[in-house]
Amino acid sequence: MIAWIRRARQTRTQVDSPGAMQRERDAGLRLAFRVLGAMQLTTQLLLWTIQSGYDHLRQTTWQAEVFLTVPTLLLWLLWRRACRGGLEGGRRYWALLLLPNLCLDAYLCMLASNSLISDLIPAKTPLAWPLVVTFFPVVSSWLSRDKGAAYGAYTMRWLLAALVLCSTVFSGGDVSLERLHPLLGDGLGKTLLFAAPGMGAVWGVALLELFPLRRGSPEPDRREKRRDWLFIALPLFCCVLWALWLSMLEPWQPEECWDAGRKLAGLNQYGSNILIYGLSILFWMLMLPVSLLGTTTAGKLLLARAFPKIPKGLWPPALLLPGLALLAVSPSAILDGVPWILPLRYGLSLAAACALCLCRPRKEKT
Amino acid sequence: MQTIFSRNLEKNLKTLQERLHLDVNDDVVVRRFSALGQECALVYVEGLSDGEQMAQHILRPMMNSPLSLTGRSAAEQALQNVLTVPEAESGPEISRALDDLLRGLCLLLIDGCDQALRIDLRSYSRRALSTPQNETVVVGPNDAFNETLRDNLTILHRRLPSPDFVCSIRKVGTETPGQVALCYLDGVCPAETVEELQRRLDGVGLDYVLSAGTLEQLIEDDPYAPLPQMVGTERPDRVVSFLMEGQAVLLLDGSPRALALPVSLWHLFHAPDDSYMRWQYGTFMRLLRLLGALVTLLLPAVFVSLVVYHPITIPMTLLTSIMQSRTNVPINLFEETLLMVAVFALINESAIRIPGMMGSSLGLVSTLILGTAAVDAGLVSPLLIIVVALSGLGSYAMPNYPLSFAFRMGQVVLLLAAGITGISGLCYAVVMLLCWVAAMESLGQPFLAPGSPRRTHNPDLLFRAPTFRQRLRAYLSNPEEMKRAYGRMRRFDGRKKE
Repeated sequence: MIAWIRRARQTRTQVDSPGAMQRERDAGLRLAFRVLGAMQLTTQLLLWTIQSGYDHLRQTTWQAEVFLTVPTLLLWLLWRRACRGGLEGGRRYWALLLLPNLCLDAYLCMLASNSLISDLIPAKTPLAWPLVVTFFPVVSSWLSRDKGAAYGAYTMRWLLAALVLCSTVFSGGDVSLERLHPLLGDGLGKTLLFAAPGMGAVWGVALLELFPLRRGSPEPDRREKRRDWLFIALPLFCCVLWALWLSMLEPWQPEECWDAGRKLAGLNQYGSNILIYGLSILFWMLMLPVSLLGTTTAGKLLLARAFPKIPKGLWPPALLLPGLALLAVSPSAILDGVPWILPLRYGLSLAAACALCLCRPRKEKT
Repeated sequence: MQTIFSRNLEKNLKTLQERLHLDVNDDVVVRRFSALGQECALVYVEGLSDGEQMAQHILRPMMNSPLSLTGRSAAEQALQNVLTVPEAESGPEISRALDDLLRGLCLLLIDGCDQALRIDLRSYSRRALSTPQNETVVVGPNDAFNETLRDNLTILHRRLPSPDFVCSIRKVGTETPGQVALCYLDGVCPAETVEELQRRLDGVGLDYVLSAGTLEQLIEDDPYAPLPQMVGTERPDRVVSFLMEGQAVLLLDGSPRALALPVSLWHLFHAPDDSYMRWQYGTFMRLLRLLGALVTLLLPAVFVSLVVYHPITIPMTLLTSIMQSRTNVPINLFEETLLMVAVFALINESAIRIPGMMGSSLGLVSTLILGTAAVDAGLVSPLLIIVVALSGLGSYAMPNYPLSFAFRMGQVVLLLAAGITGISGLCYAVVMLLCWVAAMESLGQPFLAPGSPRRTHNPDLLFRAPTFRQRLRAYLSNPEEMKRAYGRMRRFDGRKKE
């Protein structure tokens, strides 16, 4: 509102030449992709928090998220440096290194969606909801082309922020600071050990720097570069705040057999108002498809650039098929069977950044 | 095939006879006469040219002229020294002559001269300028375009007496070209917009472009998209407003609808009233329209998903009321809603097609029979009729007719998603449609701009700032001309502000 009033009063505009207009367009596109990347990062962090940290909310979860800030920043700074030299060199290598990360992210979102939908509406057949959570993102990816996901996410940013605020802040009447003690929960060592697998959830900082994958786009100005920190800080801050808030709520007893969907919805069931429960469900119902669409779009753009001969439209279903197969056969196969794969995402992202650094064309010495 | 006129009048007339099927075509008149020492022929389509003007400005001066013209320059000399017509051209091309003849100009052929004179003395019956049929306003002017391109351009010239106002008339259509005027403000409209439009118009491969709607489908960015990517309007004041904002406008001869582009989604929600009334009212009405659009799109789907799949979220008293109203309804809510939406669409379509005299009967049928009787018979629940009626009202609140269609079709898509998969499917479908619309472009400009992506723009999108605060043109204009007002706009106001 204030920005609107300020614009209404403006007597001059920064956009007064074709060059300034083009810079504004590039900045707008970059901003939209950063918002989408931030949403994907937030989703993965929240999913990790819920799936792994749910049972430890009173002990170590929010502390672990604070400790995750360090590896997140390190990875982001590495990617920032790697992207500075351009994205042309070795694009097949680093795209292939990021492909498993994208598949795993998609799988986690599909798992959460599937279990949340099943929790709300029991399916008549086992494949019903897995097909729904695959069909819609594939069709959305085709329809939204290259930029639709980013622009759509940018449009929804305030709605999602309002939903998470409403469903968090107003979720319970009995909040007590005493429940935060002891501050380090199970201790520093155990907290760090608990945080280590969460590093896999922060690999998505790479997407903040990679997109919009424009060739020859101008270097962002100082103001934009200063703003880039926000897209790292906000997701981390939101997740820490969310975990912190839920740690302070009235004690609840999670049941052992709660699946991902039950956990997504479960916390807000203890709220004082059924509306809060509905708002939190609505938040996840909007956030998960957006995140999934962001993953398929990122994969489509990265892999189409690395392998231009393969039709672009084939990449979204290719990214989602492993997830669909797992959901159909054994939904929690990875979480229960090979949970160590998820933290590997950090390593793959690190390797991709290094590959980009090593493969970029060297400047000829004059 | 002969492409240029010969110097022999008989040969030229024979060519015209073959090309225009004069042996069976009684509409084309060939008036032969002797003048200027030569045999001449005046060819015109009956009803398109003014006979009295032809007699006064062509036949009489030529027949009474003492000059004797010969040779190839006879046409040019006649034009310079004999004829008293305001607009005429000469040229040897037969195709061009035929195009102009069929558009209402008359041809003057002189024996010994290989040029034909194309003289504009058009006068044909046309619909008088009237009030807008589809864009009525409470406050504001009430003139509208008609089907004649010249009349429409005249209205625009009267409203916008600017030397930078350019009307470039081009032909579209391969076999039977029609005229389309590309209008823009030179300097304000970006050059790339004009070039891109020209490129698209030159790329039209249809034999005949019947209407502005056909032209729209041939040049828009995404013909498979759910929403229109241009604004069609019959109001000259809206067209002038678009021109001042840096957009280009197309006017097709034979269509009363002008096409303005590039546009964004927000332009489709604007009505002329918004600018003519106070800014508070304009903002209020736009928000109301947006609310109506959301009600149209979401209300039936949300109603079905909550009642069928998530009744726990509905307050108990309301849920009881809903269940009681549905006690005797034999079909489930999802099918009932689909049925009512279909019936509503049928009533809409019938109301448009029905002859005027029977219009009152339609109101009787829909209200009494479909409304009251259906509820009494237990076929539908009264609450559902309210839901469907509200969603219909929301679609009527939208000032753009194609937009209301798009929202009604989107309503069906969301209803299907909600009916099959509940709120989750509804959310997935909403995200899908939103991202589809976000990916759309209008002449290369993102459709949700300047909201997403962000652009510097005039504060006149959803919220209308006061007129004296709107210093900029839209983000679609030439950036060097983006500022349209300098200094204070209320200069009489002596209070120190800003």
